Amino acid sequence: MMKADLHIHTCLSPCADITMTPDVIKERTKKLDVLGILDHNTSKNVKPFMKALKDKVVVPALEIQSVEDVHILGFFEKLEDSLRVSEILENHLPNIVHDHEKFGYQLYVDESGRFVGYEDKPLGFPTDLELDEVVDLILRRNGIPVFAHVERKFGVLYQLGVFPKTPVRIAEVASEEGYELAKKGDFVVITSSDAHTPEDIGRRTIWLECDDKSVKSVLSCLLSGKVITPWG
Amino acid sequence: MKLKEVMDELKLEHVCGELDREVVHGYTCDLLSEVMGNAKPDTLWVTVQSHMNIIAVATITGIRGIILCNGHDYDDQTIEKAKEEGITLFKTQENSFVVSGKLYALGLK
Repeated sequence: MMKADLHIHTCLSPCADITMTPDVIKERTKKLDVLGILDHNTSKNVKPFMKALKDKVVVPALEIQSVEDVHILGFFEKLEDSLRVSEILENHLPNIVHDHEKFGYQLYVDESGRFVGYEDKPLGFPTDLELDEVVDLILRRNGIPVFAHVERKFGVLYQLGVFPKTPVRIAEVASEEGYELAKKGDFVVITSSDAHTPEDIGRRTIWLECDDKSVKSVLSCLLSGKVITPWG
Repeated sequence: MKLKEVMDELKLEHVCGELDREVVHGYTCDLLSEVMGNAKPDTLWVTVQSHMNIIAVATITGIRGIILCNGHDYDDQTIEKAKEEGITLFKTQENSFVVSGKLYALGLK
């Protein structure tokens, strides 16, 4: 069995703390085996985390915002695929320059935690892609789409009221209430921290019923529902 | 029309920001991309979105004030940002349709 927190933001997300760097996350994840590292609408900060966290299974991921402002996670086996999706998304974000001072820094880091650049695209905004298009984009690049925090703000149930008919089979929840709703919708249910600060990391986790420390086996474990949450 | 007059007419709850500023237009929508693409400067925006991003949208478009409907509450971060950016925030128990109708009747277009 492996313990996983599959939704951890880095310092590239405008709303995340600038201390969400590889060195800090390494310190905070000693009890975890599997980490999903991501940012809003991009995976372009994931690589230094994969390098710094070699003893963990790091799943390259991103959190895409549809035009309806539904948040959808994409988990990928290969970093190249999630980076390709990130590149495509750049053309679907609002054409404005991000104001780091006003709306939060979007910082690139290296594996030691040093800031090496910043991103001027407004990553925290919805894209112009409809929910179906987002799901399709993830699937076409061999990713696994997951509805993020379904019962919370920007979750699919909160934004749209019901689960729309899509090929998405996995739902992330943040509470027992969300767990029950997602189970009724016949989803494989996961829960994760949605950490934006170091203190958040690991506040919600799951157990994966597999022992093979590879991204591939983690993803197949998710797809086959070999997941234990605090609620079942 | 001054925000103060709008507030009094609609019995809005004032959350933060100046009341002595003019608004000419109204815009009702919850999709940020739509608002960004269509709202004019000097607009009073009617929505149920309360996330901090609404302040970014207001700043970019020149929206002066926001009315949050249906009894929703603003995130603390949103209020903080609104104060920094000089965006006036209101809230109300009424829904977006009712609020929009009243604004239209007051002469906002």
